Amino acid sequence: MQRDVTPFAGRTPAEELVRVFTDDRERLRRVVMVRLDAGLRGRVDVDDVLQEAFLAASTRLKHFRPERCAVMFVWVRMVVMQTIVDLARRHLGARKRGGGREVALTEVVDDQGSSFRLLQEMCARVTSPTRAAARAEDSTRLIASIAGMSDTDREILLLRHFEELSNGEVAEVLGLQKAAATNRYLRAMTRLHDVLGNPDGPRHG
Amino acid sequence: MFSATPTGPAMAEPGQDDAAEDRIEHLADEFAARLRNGARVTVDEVVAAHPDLPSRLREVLQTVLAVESLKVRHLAMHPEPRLPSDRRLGDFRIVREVGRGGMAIVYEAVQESLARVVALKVLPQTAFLDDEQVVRFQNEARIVSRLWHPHIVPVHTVGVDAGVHFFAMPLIAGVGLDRVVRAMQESRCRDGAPLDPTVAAVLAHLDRGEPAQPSFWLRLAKIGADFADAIEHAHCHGVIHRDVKPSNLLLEADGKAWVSDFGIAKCLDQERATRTGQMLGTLHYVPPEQFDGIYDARGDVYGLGLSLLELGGGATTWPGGSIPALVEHIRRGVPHTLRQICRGAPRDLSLVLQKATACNPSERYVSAAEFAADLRRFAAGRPILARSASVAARLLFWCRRNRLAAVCAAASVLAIGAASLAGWGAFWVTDRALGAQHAANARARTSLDAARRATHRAEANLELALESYDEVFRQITGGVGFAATKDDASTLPLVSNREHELLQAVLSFYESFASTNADHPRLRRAAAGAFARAGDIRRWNGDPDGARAAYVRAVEFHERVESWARDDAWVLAMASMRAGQALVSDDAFAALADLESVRLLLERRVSADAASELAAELVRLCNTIGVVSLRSSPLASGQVHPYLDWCQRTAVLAHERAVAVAQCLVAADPSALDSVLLLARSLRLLAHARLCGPSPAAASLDNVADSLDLLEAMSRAWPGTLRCRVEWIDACSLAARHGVHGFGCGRLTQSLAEARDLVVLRPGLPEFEELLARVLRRSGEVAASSGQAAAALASFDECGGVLAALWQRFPRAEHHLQELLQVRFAQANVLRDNGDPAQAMLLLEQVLDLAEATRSPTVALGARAIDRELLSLCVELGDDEAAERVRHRAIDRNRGRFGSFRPR
Repeated sequence: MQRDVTPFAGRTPAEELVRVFTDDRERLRRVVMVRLDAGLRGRVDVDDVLQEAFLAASTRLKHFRPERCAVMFVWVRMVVMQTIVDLARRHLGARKRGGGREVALTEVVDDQGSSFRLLQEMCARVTSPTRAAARAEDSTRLIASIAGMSDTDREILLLRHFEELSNGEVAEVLGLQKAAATNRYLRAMTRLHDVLGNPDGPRHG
Repeated sequence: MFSATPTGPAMAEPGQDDAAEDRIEHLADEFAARLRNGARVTVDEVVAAHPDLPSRLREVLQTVLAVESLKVRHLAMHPEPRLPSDRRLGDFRIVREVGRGGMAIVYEAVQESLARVVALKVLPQTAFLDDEQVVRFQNEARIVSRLWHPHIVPVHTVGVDAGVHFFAMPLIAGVGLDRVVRAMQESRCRDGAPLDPTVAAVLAHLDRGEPAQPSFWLRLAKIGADFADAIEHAHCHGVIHRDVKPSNLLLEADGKAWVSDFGIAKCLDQERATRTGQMLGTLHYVPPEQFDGIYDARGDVYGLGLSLLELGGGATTWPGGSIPALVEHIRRGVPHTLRQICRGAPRDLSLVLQKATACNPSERYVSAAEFAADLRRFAAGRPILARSASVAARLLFWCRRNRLAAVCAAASVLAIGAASLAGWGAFWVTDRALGAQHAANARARTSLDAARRATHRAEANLELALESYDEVFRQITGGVGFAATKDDASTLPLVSNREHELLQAVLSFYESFASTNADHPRLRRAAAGAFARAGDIRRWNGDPDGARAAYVRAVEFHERVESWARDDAWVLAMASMRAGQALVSDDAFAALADLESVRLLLERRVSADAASELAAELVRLCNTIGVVSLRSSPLASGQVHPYLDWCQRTAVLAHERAVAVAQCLVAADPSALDSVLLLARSLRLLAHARLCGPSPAAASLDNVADSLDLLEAMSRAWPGTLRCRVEWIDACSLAARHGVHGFGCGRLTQSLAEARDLVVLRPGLPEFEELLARVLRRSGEVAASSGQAAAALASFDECGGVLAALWQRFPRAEHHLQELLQVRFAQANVLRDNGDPAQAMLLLEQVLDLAEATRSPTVALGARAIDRELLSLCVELGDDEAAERVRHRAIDRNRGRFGSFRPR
């Protein structure tokens, strides 16, 4: 109930929310690009997703607990992810008209699989017609290696390099201590290096 | 990019651990940030600036570099190329964006000095992570710009302006084959979105038609030859495309073919590729050998072949799924030929594409020129070269079609071991036996000799060959649909003619292997196993005599194994040999005695630990005993005969034992699906055996009910398990047939509907059709016993139709015929009871014609019962002439087989 001590340099949560959506807009866009289903990417605009996420975040702001989540960006990111899942569900429901690749509902909604799906899409995208005229280079082996990583390693890698989150933010997203996040990140990178260095190709599992 | 680095210790000294880790993490973060900003920074620089940090820093930075560049390439997340505000790049004025890839943005632009419209491909700043790559890119582009061919999209210019790299190409008014194939796919769904006008024009030009017109195939071949010419031209100039895929093969509205993006892919990744053997190219069209780091001109042939296959079939090749799964699919090879996708496709064209997309590069066309030439030969109606595709290739293809990962692995190991004579000897045997079939027996024998000689030279390779043949064998016999789990030996695998042909090849291998190595102490067991397999194959071929001989030798050699070496595996093998032997035996008593002796062996070993493979085998063996003894009474129900009575009692005892052991198995591990299924099946068989007796006990119905309870619990625990559903339908219809409480006509109708669903779900799978026939027969019996003659006749008639079709498809599986006999028998009874004995006679005489075509003793027994029925019908009709005819026919047929048999 102590509202006088605000953790956002004197800003209210509402002001902080606006700041995140302004200053961190690029990073939030990246979250959408990484996590949005390939079939939806042609239909919904990234900025529309963010706008919807902003509305959702504003209405849910009362549920935001500064003591639980020190960095508001991490909370907003979660809302964005939720918006994406909702969108996928809504669009898939109305997808009987066809036009997209067949993606099972579970595939979209299942959060666990999201990072893995992203990798699959990397391959699928290369053959998508809008890109036919342009060349997409394919470091297939690297993709396969990432696909073969453990879920945690892969998620850390995606957060750090695809969503471009900082170590502190990764720690918050995954609920880890900063040191543990550092440790895990470096371990994941070393492992990936080992797999790539192995001439027999990636080891799965 | 990594191989040059010696891997250092994974961890630094413990004391400095945390501090060092923090610094490495920080440097990695900074490094990534600089890369993202397009700054030019190298791993070496950062590492050199921090000599005190462990070598792990280099590893992490290298990985950061790899992952960051991957992101740039695949997610189109690189910052947009910073175009100058006047949207000019050198001589080019940008008009509009026409496409966007993971790697570059394509603009329509005007080259002002020449006033021509071009496609301008603009690369992001981060596309080149070091200067060396820029140089490579420019060199490569220069080489490609020298390619001048009517079907290659030329590169006009390569340039850099204000730090932005780009190259200019003519703007082709065409579409990639990927869009064409997609449009074909969508048009088949009938509700595709309106087509892009260019795509529509290309489709109109191709004019595929549904079904595809002959002229379409000619156009396809011509276009394919044009593409191949272009690729050949580049190959002659030392440029390998490395990324031939539908989206790089363009078609204009008038059918003009263009190959685009030559060499550009290569140069960007070549450095890495040559240094680490890393792969390039779009995964879906990557030739299998590329996963092993091999790529040459034949890889381009593969990509083109696969693209044409997709265009011809109007569908993409690979199923969706994870990347590792996709890689697995690709390694196994293209799963179908053009003719399999599209029935009306010309055989020759299908063969040409099959050769171009062969899994093994050495089986492909050596060059794109040869591919083009064969396509043109096809278009001109001349004989193609691919026709002479070797039989070994067909064997391999067969394997792939059946998705036999293991076989292919083994077979490719075989192929790799080409240097060893034994491997090739074995292959040669297969080849011969397949190709020459019966006519070339003599020559096949010579090749067997060769294999035999080779055997002595390279025993190890022979064992390898044996393994791969075993795998082929297992897949043919066990891989039929859901029945892949080992069932009791009474369930025959149903083999098509094509698989039969292949089995012949396997058979000759086994026989040669067995007879050569039987005296070799180390290989004796393997030889015995080979004899047993030969026996199995002969049994399914409808050659009981040959099978018997093979089993006898199998058992003989198996028994020669020293007693100390008789482990569990030995007993298991013995059990399966004896089971096979019993099923071809013409002496049921002797067979049952043999089975009993094996059963004792198993029983002795099982008692200690109930939950083992041995116990499961015991259950199966007991079920086999039951099935064998019951089988020797073909039309059992209702007849009283001391022999039949004994058979039935033996069967009941055996199944009771099976149930008891299976119950122990389930008790040991209630969550093992296989055990529970085994129990359910044993219960059902027990019930069935009891119901066959002269006075079915009420207990038998309890068995069915128990079986059903189990199955229903299982359906809840493993929802959607097909095997469970199948077993349930079987048990449910059996319960309904015999009036188990709560299983009335409603359940029967339900199981019938489910059986029909299954047949629709997996058309052509014989197990489901057999099940449908069983359920239909039971419905017929229920209807007959409740006096609904019309319904009974309809059910029997449909059932007979299903069985007759099955028998026609699998002429070697005689139990279909046997069942057909029984069903017709029942049908005739209904007809007779309803005052149509003439029709009944006609039906029986027809089915007798079928029965006389086989030599099986059990079928003959069935025929004998039909004779009796026919005779009594004749008497009923008062037709002495017909009676005489039937009598003579029966005597003729049974002369020699039953000696003095004379129907009363």
